[in-house]
Amino acid sequence: MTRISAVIVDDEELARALLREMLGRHPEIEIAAECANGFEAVKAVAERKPDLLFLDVQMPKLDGFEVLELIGAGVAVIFVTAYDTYAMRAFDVHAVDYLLKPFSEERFEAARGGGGEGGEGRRAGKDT
Amino acid sequence: MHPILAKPGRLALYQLGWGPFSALLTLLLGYAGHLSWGESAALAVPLCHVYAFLCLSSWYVCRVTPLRTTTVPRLLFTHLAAAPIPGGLYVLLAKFIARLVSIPPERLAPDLPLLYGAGVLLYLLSVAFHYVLLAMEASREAERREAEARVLAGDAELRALKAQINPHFLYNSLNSISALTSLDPARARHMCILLSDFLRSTLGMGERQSISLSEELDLVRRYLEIEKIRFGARLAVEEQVAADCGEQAVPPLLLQPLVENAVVHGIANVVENGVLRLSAARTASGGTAITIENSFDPDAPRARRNGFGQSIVRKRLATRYGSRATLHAAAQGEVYRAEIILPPEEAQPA
Repeated sequence: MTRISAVIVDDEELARALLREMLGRHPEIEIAAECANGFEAVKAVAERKPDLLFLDVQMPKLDGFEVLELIGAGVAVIFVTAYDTYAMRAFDVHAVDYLLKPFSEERFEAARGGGGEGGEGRRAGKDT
Repeated sequence: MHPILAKPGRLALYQLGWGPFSALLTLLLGYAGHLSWGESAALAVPLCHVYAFLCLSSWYVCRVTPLRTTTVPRLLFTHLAAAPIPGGLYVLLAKFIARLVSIPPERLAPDLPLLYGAGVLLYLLSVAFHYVLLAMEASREAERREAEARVLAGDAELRALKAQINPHFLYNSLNSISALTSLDPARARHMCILLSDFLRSTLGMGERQSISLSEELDLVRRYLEIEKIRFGARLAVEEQVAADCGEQAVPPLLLQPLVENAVVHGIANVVENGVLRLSAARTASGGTAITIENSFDPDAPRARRNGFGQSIVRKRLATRYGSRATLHAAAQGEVYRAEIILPPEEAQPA
């Protein structure tokens, strides 16, 4: 079984804990890093080259979209935010899914399935 | 319709007001010596009270030449040109009454100039009286309109109030609760209670015109308590509230958008050690200065620092206090500072 590596980016500890818990039920997914701001996220993605990125939008230093601009294509992105206003922009940068906080476990599973199965999800990146 | 004719009570009062004039005229005629005291009274009393009705007509003249829009020369011309007519009528009326009370015309004749003068003077007095009446009516109308505007402003304020609790604050808090339910059920319950306490008090406040600063600060503390669970060590709250300003009247939820700005555009953008400082102190003029200071990241894009909470607060202050209250907000280094200065006003007990 191919292990899927995931990076969680959210400035709130509890929000990260929730994703960690939900991902913990999937032994095939390995959490490569947890980041609390945009800088850390860019660094972690560059170093770990994860398959899957759970990305908050509003964060210190760089917001989720700025992070995406810096890391370029190559990772499946699932936005996780309380704001529905970014959904169109997320679509433009080819995000795999858009989770609105608070979300149910079913909704989370649907998103994870779309982005994570065998690492074969659509890859997000800047629209060119 | 003439306001005095509209109610019988008013008419009676008006006629009563003419009493002194009929007495004065009786005296004048009596001292003139052409008529006996009895004849003077028999002529003057009915004359004045019938003339009182005639003078009511000046109300219509006053209405078409309002003081505010009519020039002084035109005003003088209109009324001075009109005055001889009622003056003449007054004399005719006097002759008629004299006949009724059987005073011979030749004995009345020497008094006619006096009667004409009195007629003109009384008419001009009634003009002045009607202008006062119109001014009173206008001021009552203005008061009514002002009250109406206040109600409208209140409605607008209530609508603004409802918009003051940012729904994203709720979504994020609920997400924290969702995380805590498995991590730490007791804390999840605690947060549910904090959240419902906060919501309940905000809903209750919408109906009140103003609350005390201490109530408002309680609400802010509840809000920050919830945000502290979300932001953890990133949010430290400091308070410096002078004991003597707790009773200052504050429009409910006035501080909420500013505190929310401090969290969303300030604390949320700093990586660690964010501080939010609340202070309140009496000003030299007896009002209260309320300050909200927060750490922020000066490198964050401007759009992320400016909420439109500030404009809501400005509007509410302007509606309520005009220029007597101010909101000043500016960045100083890595601290963003918003200061509200309220005029002296004690809160009414709920």
